[in-house]
Amino acid sequence: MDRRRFLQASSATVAAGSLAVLSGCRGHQYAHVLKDNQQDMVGSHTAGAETFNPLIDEAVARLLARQQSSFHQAGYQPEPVGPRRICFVGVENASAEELGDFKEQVYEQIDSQILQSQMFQPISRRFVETALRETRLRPDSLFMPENMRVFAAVLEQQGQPFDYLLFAKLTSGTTTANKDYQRDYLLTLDLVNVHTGQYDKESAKIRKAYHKSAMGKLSKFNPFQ
Amino acid sequence: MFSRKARRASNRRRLSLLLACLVIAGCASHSVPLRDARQAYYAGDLRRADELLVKASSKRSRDADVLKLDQAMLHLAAGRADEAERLLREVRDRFDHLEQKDVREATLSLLTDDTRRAYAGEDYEKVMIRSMLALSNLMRDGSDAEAYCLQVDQKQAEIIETGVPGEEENPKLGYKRVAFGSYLHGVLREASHLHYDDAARSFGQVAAWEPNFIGVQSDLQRVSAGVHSAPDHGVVYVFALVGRGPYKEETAAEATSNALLVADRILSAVGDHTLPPTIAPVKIPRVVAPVNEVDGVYVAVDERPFGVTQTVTNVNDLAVDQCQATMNHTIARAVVRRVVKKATVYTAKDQMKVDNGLLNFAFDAAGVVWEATESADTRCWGLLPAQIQVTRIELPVGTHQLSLGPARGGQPIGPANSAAVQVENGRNTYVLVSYPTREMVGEILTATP
Repeated sequence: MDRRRFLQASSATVAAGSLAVLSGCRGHQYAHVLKDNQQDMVGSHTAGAETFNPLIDEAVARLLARQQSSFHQAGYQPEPVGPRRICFVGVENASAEELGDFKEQVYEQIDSQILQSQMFQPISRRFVETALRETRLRPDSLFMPENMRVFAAVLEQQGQPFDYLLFAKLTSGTTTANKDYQRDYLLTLDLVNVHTGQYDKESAKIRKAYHKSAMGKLSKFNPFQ
Repeated sequence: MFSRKARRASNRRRLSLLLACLVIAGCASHSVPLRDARQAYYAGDLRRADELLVKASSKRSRDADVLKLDQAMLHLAAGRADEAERLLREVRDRFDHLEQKDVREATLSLLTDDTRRAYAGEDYEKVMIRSMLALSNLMRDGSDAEAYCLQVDQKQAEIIETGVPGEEENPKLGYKRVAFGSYLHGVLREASHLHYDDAARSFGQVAAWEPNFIGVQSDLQRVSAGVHSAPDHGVVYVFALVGRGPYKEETAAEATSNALLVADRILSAVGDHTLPPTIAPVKIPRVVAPVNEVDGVYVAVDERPFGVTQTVTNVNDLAVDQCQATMNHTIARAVVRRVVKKATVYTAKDQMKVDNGLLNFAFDAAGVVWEATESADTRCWGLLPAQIQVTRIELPVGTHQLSLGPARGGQPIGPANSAAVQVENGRNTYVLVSYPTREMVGEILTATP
């Protein structure tokens, strides 16, 4: 094919083809509100609502249930009047993924669920931050008895005495199978009685598989196998 | 007699077509009309720069978004952080919208040039918008600064993952990351005295992405094992926008073999044809990093020298690297446009059965003019700094006198400007200063969100 014929013939196809290749019109972005009974979207690359929501629900429910039972078992002992005061220090992310904007959400969800239980009365986070700033203590150093006493004293000065310290920690474990991988997410709640030093712990786990393609998912999780 | 009239009428129609081709040809370069506004900014005449930008935006609607970005920089330097944030947010949303393909614009750009497209921003600009949003918000009340920081990382991850449509290999995988978002995120998380783990993660990312930023190593150490500041001390962060940032200029590029491969793929995708044997150089935009006389800002506190700011993000390097990474695709697009234009002229000649030698020459000449009048798209955010730099100063609670001046090679090269900063116990105070040249532009901004 000579140059002239090439150009003639290609003019029409290029013009038409360019429409096909570069096709599409700019549209608007759409959104809709999910109803309570609708499933969360599933994060394709990292954990999202589908992972964190059930993790929090389960871990908090287990911890509260155990505290409830220990409360009843020790019923003969004199108990403090009203809900026990709890200082939720924060969520530590030790997983392989950054939590992004979910970090605050995880904190708030745990805090709200504890409040709703009416077993515990959480201290406002603003007091916690102020006390940490005042004492220059790191959250991870509050387990040391001396640090705990200093921290508790500062909060008490602010009119916020507490009975328990609560820490949340998110960890992950990754299993790789060629291009696909499974990641197990574990949310652990550590509860420490500041008066007795007694320690309780509960956790919840969710396993999630990530695939590079739909075929990858099918090959590893074939329902007919 | 009749046939001569008919021939004349036919020739007139053909010439009209030629004129129409010339009318839709490309227009002049973007950079020239804006030069005065940008020069006024660098000279510190913010009012004049603002007037020129407003004037330019009323005349050049296709440049409106990049002009807004320049205006945002101007507002920020002048201490109007809220106005800067508003404009940046507006352009961020518009660029996000314009990222989508538009068939009408795509076709028109093939027949004319890329200046006919709505400008959706270069990759580095999209990320820098979010970085500057974080900085603007920080100098206002800081309420959204963390969200903007997260957006910096999200956007660059999205850009890299998307790659270049139609290319087998993703040239964006090698993009250098903008560390500023992660750095500021770490700073903000540390300031809570609660989220040292987040801060460590963010600073770790900065250390990996910007290994020449030595200062982050001490940040990393501090958040891993220490505390924000000693009792009765606070921290001042000096952020400096240093040097003149990247701009684009038109250049003639040879169609390299790699670019021709990409162009061939695009053409093959739309028909069973290959490229013509030779392709003359094509006009493309090239990112230029200006040579800057200032490479840092020296800092003195209460008349005692403290040090020089360090680079957390080098915008010039980033822009040049990204331009280089996608160069084959840029050239390929220009080659495809060249082929389409040539094909259109030849088809028109055949359809109209041009047998007159003079008219044939006129068509060829028009084709050459059509190709020659196209311009490379040199629209860009011209007032970006060359570098975003930072230094961290821990100071006792109280008021301190901060002196900031231009530096080169760690040595002062110009007079300093001073501002009083209030340091609060266990808190951060942020200072922003702009040194595009050895003269400071605007004022020293301070904020304690």
